[in-house]
Amino acid sequence: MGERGSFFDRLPLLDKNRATKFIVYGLIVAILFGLMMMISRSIALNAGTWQNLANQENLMNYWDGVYGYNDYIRRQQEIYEITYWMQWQDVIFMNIARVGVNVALFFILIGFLSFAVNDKLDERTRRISLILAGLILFVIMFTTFFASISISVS
Amino acid sequence: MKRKLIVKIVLILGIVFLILAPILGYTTDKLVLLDQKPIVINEDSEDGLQKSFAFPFSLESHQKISIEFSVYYANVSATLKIFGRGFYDQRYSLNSSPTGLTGLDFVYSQFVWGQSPSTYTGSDNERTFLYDEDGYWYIEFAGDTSGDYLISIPGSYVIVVYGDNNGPPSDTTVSFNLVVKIDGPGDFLEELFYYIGAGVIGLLVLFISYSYYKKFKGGR
Repeated sequence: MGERGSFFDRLPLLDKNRATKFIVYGLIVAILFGLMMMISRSIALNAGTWQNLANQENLMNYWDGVYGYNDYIRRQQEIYEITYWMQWQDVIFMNIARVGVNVALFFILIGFLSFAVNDKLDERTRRISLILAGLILFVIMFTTFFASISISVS
Repeated sequence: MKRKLIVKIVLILGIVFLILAPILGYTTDKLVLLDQKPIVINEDSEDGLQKSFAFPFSLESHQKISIEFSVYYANVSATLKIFGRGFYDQRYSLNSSPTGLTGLDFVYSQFVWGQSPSTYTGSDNERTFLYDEDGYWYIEFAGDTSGDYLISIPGSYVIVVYGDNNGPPSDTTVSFNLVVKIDGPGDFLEELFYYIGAGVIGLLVLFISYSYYKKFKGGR
């Protein structure tokens, strides 16, 4: 606020250094949230495999006499609970990650837009930056209004 | 520099909590109340409760005990029953014979590899090894049963073991082995340590993110 103006007032007038920072930080944040998405999805998809392993371990512990029938039943119920959590966490973390990625993409978009309107840069760089900004905007719009962008090869 | 050191210490603390959680959970899952091999009583334990072996214990809500009862001594016949404390005290004062008393229901298991656990689990109010039998029973008790499942009834109970020696008349000892374990705070501690560990690391991530945000906002 004050002399420097609000965040939005300064957005299209980012200098080259600050625009680069926006892109780099945006990329880092997007990669981190993307990583979170992939890990979360992987855990959810493999919940069934983990359940099979945990059930087998439970059976073998019972057969070894480590615990009795009711402990076996209790552990079985705990395995079901953990499996459901492994599946449900995907919903929570995917939504958090989706917001995070979109915010990060917004920063990258601002960075490229700033390059595009910077008259100190050469024409070709500005044009490529504008195309990239448009592409990122396209991705943001799709991931905001639709579930996701997917490519299927058949 | 000092801030970095604090961050490192907190991170290590969080990891330590996460590592300790399953270890604590495993070690405190069951607490051993009694582990005696052998316990020796006399065969007149069959005649009156005052001569029988008795082990009192208390159960809280959703707590159970696990008993490993085994006999592998010559000529020994032994029976295990569980009574409510009030009932036991009343019968103890009368020195009633435990053979005529009905015990509370418990679940017993035999561990047969490759077979479904439910096939080799049953419920009964007593377990007996006869003269010509050696054996081992894993017993679970929480107050009562419904089929092979436990019903939690908190209260005070007594494990009673009595028996007979079928050997020469001069040999009157009855030997058996008994291990009694009670549910410990393992589950609670494991969950608590997981939450603390994850919470500490989560807060640290938020703190680091906020620091970066402040740096970024400051234009440095």
